[in-house]
Amino acid sequence: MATPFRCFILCVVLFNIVGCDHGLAPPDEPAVGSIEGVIHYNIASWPPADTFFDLRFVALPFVPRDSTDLLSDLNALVISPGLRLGVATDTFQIAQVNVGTYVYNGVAQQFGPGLLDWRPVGLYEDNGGIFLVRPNETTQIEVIVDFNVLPPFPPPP
Amino acid sequence: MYRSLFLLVWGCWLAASVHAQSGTVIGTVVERDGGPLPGVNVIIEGTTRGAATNIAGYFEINNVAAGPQRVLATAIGYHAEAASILVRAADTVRVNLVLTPQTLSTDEVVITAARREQLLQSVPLSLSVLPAEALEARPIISLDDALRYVSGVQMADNQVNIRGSSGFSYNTGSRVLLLLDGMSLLSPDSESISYESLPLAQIERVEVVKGPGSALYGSSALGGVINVITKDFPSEPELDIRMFGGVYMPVRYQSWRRTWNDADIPRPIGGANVTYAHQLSDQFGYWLNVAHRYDAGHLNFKQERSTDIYAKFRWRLSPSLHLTTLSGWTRRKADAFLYWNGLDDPLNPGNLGFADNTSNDSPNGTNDNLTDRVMLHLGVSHVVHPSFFYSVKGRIFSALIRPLDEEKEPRSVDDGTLGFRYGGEVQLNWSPSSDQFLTAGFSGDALATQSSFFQEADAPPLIRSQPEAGAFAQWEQMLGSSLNLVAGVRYDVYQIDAGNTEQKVSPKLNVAYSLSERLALRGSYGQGFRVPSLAERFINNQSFFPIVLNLDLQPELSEGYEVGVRGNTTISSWGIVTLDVAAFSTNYRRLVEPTFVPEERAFQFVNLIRARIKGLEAEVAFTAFNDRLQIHAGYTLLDAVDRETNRALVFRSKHLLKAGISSQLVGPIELGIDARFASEFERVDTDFARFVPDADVVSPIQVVDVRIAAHVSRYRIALFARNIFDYYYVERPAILAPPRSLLFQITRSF
Repeated sequence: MATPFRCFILCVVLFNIVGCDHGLAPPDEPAVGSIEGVIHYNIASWPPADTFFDLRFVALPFVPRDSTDLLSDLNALVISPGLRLGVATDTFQIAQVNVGTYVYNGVAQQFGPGLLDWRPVGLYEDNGGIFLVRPNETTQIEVIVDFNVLPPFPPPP
Repeated sequence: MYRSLFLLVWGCWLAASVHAQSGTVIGTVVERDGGPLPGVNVIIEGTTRGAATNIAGYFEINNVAAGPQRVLATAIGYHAEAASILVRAADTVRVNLVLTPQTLSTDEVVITAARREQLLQSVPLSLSVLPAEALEARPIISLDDALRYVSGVQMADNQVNIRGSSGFSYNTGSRVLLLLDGMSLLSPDSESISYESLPLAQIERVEVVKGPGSALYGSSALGGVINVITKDFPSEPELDIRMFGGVYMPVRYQSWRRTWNDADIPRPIGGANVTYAHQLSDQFGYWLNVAHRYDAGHLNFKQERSTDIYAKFRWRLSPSLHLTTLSGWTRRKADAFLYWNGLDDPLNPGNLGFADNTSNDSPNGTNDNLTDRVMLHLGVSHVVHPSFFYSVKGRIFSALIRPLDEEKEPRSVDDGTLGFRYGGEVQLNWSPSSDQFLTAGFSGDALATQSSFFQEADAPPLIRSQPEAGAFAQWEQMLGSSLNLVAGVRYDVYQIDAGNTEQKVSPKLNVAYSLSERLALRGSYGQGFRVPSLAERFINNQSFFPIVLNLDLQPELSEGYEVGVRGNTTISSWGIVTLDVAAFSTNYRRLVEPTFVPEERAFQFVNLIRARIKGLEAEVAFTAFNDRLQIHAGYTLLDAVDRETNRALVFRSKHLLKAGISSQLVGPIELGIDARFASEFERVDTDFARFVPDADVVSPIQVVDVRIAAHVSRYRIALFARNIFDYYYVERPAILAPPRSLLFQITRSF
């Protein structure tokens, strides 16, 4: 019976080793802040509602070269809830935003069903278009959208 | 003082009275030829009384309680033998027992290696067998649960990976061929495997061939073949009812539970299986298997419910001619959890792009479907002569997948997938002499699938098809009593698009050399290939990811070499050790990977990878006390390299270890422990992590399952703790594997 006994002891030892490791765990809470924004629209410039599949405020920590670039790091995008259509002014709030510098920010319109069918319709332009999100602070921004004067996309180098 | 004296007197009286109420059992244990058997364990069942036979086969057991008793004699290599006796007080009873030699477990018969029955010991390639006992002892709810216990096999959620062949390809295009009694069960659209849709209670064994196997089986046997062999029919009617129920325990981290209310309570799982089998006469036998299962899932939107009905019939039209049918229908309603919402919220599915993410609405990290599968397998076998028989088989396997609407009702088939795999084969087996075998045949199959995933939005339904035909031959030649040579080749031709055909010739060469009855060397060479599934070629969809079709996909190719040794030895008279060691190397070309193609602005399945996977595998098993103690361990070392970049191949672990103990040493109680370990993936695909948060998070796997069971009358009652240490890990990117779960199972045999 010596062999089974040794196996039993080995099992107990292995159990102890294995039992001490719990595997994956929640990551440390990242430092976060929030964004509050006001969007002013040129009310006369609104296109027909059926040309909008979606409308959001989007903040990027990088300047995209084209819409494919958006896919290259989709997880880095900060995205507001859907915005209202046909209004003169709208507001939004985004909580739990990772702290950092956001360099390309604005309102984006989804004009088709595809994941890449997006274009900017108005950019945040204060402070060179750049804002910071600081830990536990709220960053206030304003964006002006005129659908008759769309910003160039991809942005000029 | 008086108290001690009283106890002493009482103890003496008790001992004397026991002695007075007991008798002695003597006798001999011999072989069938009358030769004495020394070292045989002889016990009085249900007691601790026992003895071992001496060199003359004689034993003597004293102080056996008076009354009816059963004497049980066990020895390694022999069938156990029992005798009922009546022991009278102060008397001696004589009992003589004859043991018959037992076929050692290493003499298991397998069928997959050569498309004919042969002894496992003489198989010239790596093949693992999961017998029915191993399936019944464990909490096997679907086949992938069982495959996780096989050495060299790693599951990536529901995708099987034999010796690193598969990695993870988003459940599309299996590089391992799954057969049910020789019939392919790969789905006709994506060629994925549905592990839960099998008659688990009627599985005789599962054979796992490791290494390329296209020389006998054609496409998809790129990395190996899994053949599920169903049971034959018992002479006496057998009815088994099995019910199980249990729960996934809540995860320990409150931060993971906070975004899903149901995460705070145990999530139920349960089901029932009824199976009946009977050989009605020499001419007719059948079994039926009905199963229902509900799984609330350990993740939000991972609920599923399934019902399976399987039946097998056999008519012996004459002693040499029989017809077999195997048919099945399964229905599965399931939320398919595709990817998590990040490591800080792994219990909820994530969202792609800009959609809102709440735990109340169905996000696009899930895909809810109602799936119906129907299969029918017809086979005729005719033994023309003791040395020659042939079989003719026909098969059809269909899958209907319909997405569910918000009310959880199935939508039209035009919004889903309807596919058929159908065909047949003829196989001849001829043995011109006892040391020569010829196995040859031809087959024709076709896939025809209509899927909303294969067409542009709002376009009419489109049927995609893929006919295929093949012919194979294999010659086995024994040279003397020790050397076995096997040479085979298969020719396949596929029409992968209108007017576009592919051909493939797949040779194999095996050598086995028996150094003794218990030790055999082997060497093998084989090729494998896999024609991309219809889904990989034609999928064109934006619903979950932007994916575009690729009509230029080429078949994947593999070429493998292996040398190995398999042997066994007895330890004293009570145990046997078996050992299998193999060194292998497989080269892969044109492996298909889903890759983000910038110019397409979408994912696409492309022939991308040239790889080499080499490694070592060692399996050792120890069986003792007439199989009542079983210990096994298997270790696999993998060196998987992407030869284009010279980096590690994605989604492969370098080290795999499986180990387990099963014991029935204490009365009717069974105890078992199974452990599986895998090192962290050497590398992961970062394209997926562009879309899904923390999809590049990986972990080692360290899972231990424990079970305890008891046989009481005709009941078997079992309690299982799966992942008992509540270890959190991922088998594939962005899906947390199940936490600790507890299951209770009761089986009644009639």
